[in-house]
Amino acid sequence: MITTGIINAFYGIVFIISSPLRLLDNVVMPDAFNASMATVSGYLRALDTILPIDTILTLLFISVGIEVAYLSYKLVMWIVRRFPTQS
Amino acid sequence: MELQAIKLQNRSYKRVVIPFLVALIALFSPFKGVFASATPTVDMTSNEIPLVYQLLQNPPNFTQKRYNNDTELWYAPIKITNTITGVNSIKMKFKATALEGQPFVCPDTGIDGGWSRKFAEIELHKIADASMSYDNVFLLMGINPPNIDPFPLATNSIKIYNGTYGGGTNTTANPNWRKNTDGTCSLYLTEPIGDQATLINQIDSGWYILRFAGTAVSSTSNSNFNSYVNAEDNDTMKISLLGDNSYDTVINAEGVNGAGSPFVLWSNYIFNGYAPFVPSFPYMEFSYTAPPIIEKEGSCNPFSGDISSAFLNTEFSLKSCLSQIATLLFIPSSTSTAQFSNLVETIKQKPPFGWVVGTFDSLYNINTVDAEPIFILEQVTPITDTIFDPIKLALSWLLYFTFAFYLFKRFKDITI
Repeated sequence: MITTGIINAFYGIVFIISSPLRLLDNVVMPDAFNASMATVSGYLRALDTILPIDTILTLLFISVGIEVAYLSYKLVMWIVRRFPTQS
Repeated sequence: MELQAIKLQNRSYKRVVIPFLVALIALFSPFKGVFASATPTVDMTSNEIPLVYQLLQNPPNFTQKRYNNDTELWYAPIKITNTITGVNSIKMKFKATALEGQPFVCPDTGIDGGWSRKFAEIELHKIADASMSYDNVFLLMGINPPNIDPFPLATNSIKIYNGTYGGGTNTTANPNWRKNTDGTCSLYLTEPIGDQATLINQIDSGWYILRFAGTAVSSTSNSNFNSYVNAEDNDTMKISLLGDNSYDTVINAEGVNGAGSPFVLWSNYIFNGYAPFVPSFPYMEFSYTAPPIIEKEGSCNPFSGDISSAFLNTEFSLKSCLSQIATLLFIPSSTSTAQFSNLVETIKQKPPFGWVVGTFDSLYNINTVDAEPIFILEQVTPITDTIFDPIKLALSWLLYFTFAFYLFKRFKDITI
């Protein structure tokens, strides 16, 4: 009861804060984007015979993930340093 | 000094940040399946133990041989480890593969238990301690010539089921085939209530023979099963055990129907005495984990009578009451936590998050999307097998090594 109440209260706050977002329409990826992804996929499938496409994609995504995580961390730290007494 | 302090601070940051990044990558990378728990999920209820089968990786070559010709017996030697405690039923999972193109159809729970009635008797006979060697066990079984007749069952035999034939529907008195959600079949053996204590006490580690036997064979209800399995002479039927994550064939049952007419059902096939099963694998090894024994909760209902007798009342349990109060106060309801995931799913579809999620989804699926190749390279199988596949493999390794080197350099260069 107590924990549930706290969780529900927290949820209510999040729900109110996110209400502007929830009013927006759902995202539909543009047809051109989907077509381009299909084209890329078509090329990858064709090259899959001779190139380790799975490996290349995996490594590519890991690299992107590292950079995104690093940038996110720097962004968060940049915001944290804006607070007084934080350097 | 100040510079050194900054360096130290940077090092401590790296100690935190690098594991953080690695964890993040593990969570979101295509490798995340690797990091997932490999623990199989099993269906465990309060009174059923799922047996986890582990087959020998390299079973010795075993000449297929019936133990006792033209009888109505079939033996499955098994080795059991650990101890069953506090349970009154054993669940064994089998998977039967297709028989002559016809899939094994396991009856759903509640369907007429014709399958179960085929087993008039299932017994578990302990024949040796677990320490006995494999060869000696089979010598003991008489499978390795010379055959020993009668079957040298030890005196310590446990009859799991000795029901009477003819139960119309699945009952606790009958071995009970049930369909699992993964399509496999489970055979539930529920011991008679009166023998529970005996059975529980007697099943311990050791070599056992699972003895399927029966003299009562349905002659009228076979129509129930003709639609399930209907094989011609000399067909091979395979019954497979359900392993942790794979299906491993345990028993090859080769049918030689002496009567020259189609046999109708494998269980019937056993018991009709036409041609009993021939175990090709010498034995199965079972191991299992007994579920924790849960203390029976007492009632928290108000009771009538003198308050001084409250703690003598076997139905009333103060512990249960306190437990229920604590649960009510501090354990969050599932709906309260589930609403967050619903909210997250909603927000993931809204801009700007929806754009990011959509893009990442597309990228993740880029190699699995069902797209037509833009062009098709001519393939010659021998050349592909001997040249391109090895090159691909070598390239993969080269890429991984290069990437590892890059990663090492990248982490070294990260400044925080």
